[in-house]
Amino acid sequence: MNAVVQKTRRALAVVFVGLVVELFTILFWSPLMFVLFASVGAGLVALGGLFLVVSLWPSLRQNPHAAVIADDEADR
Amino acid sequence: METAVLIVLIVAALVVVAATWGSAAHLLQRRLALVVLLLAGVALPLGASATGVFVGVKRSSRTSFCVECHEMTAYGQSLFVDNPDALSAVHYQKRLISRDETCFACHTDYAMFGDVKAKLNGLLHVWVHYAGEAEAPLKLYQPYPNHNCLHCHDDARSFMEVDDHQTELAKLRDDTTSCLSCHEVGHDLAGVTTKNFWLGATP
Ligand code: HEC
Ligand code: HEC
Ligand code: HEC
Repeated sequence: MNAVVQKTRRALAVVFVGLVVELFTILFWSPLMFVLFASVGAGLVALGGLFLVVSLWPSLRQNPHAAVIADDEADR
Repeated sequence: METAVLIVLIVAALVVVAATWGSAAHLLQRRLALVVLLLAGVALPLGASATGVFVGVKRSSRTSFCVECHEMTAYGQSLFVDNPDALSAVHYQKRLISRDETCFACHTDYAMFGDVKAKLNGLLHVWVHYAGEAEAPLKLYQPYPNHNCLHCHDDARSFMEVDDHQTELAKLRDDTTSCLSCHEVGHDLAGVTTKNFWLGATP
């Protein structure tokens, strides 16, 4: 798989796990759970978001008409 | 209600992130779709998280939150003690301060970043609650600052018209004489032990 796609997916997976943690802590709300929401949950979401921006950064700065990956790479 | 909204928001973010994961390869082919990726993978999840933190911090000001930990049980009950000199009980029973945020009304610093400081200390207390044991007897980090009482009372007619306040005013304002030197009882814990409760309210 293309490296950019892989990095993007990894970043999204981190965000996903963060959101799952948040959902769990809301369902079992308590002072401790809130601390976990804010530290672990929101922390992972922020971290994954950062990964995503970093992985897309080179593409964002490129020629606005260039695709990030070639068409024929998409399905590989 | 706010829990439901929060759950919907987070589930929506989860679905969108999962869908984005699935179509990442296709999205990356279109430059415009990078914006979609950033919205779906960064903006929406961060927005949902920020809302959650905001709701949580708001909730942590509630009286019910404060008395959730056993360390605070007696202080919560002290709101119901039948003692007109006990400051916390009087303010609560006469509804002089918000019932929803009773503890927070007196136990935050009314200064810039006072709330932030109170919340960070609160975070520490949650940690102590779960990881260790609070040292008995509990005490404040610093003597109770007059400024917090004066935030509500300074310049108020009822306050200004008391002779003792007039003579001490300068010293009260610069905190050299504590309000507690005359209004001695913050919480009547002895009243809690002897179950001397005002019957109009139930602990
Ligand atoms: C009317 C204001 C007021 C309210 C409302 C209030 N407190 Fe206090 N609290 C005080 C004051 C004043 C002191 C300091 C007493 C002292 O230094 O003798 C204090 C002290 C404390 C202390 C430190 C231990 C001590 O006795 O010095 C704890 C813990 C505490 N309060 C918890 C709470 C909780 C929990 C609530 C809500 C259920 C609450 N307080 C509501 C005014 C208030
Ligand atoms: C969030 C606002 C608020 C804070 C903080 C607060 N008070 Fe009050 N207090 C009130 C209001 C409102 C009244 C009723 C009006 C009045 O008596 O001036 C009152 C009434 C009182 C009374 C008269 C109670 C009675 O018997 O009716 C005393 C004494 C008093 N406060 C002392 C204090 C002291 C000492 C502190 C600091 C530990 C304090 N208050 C903090 C709002 C506050
Ligand atoms: C030198 C002693 C003394 C100090 C210090 C003191 N007070 Fe008082 N306070 C009194 C007395 C005496 C009364 C009147 C009690 C009464 O009439 O039952 C009173 C009454 C009050 C009342 C009720 C007024 C009313 O009639 O509704 C408030 C509010 C109050 N004090 C707030 C404060 C605050 C806030 C501080 C600190 C900034 C403070 N006091 C410091 C002696 C003191």
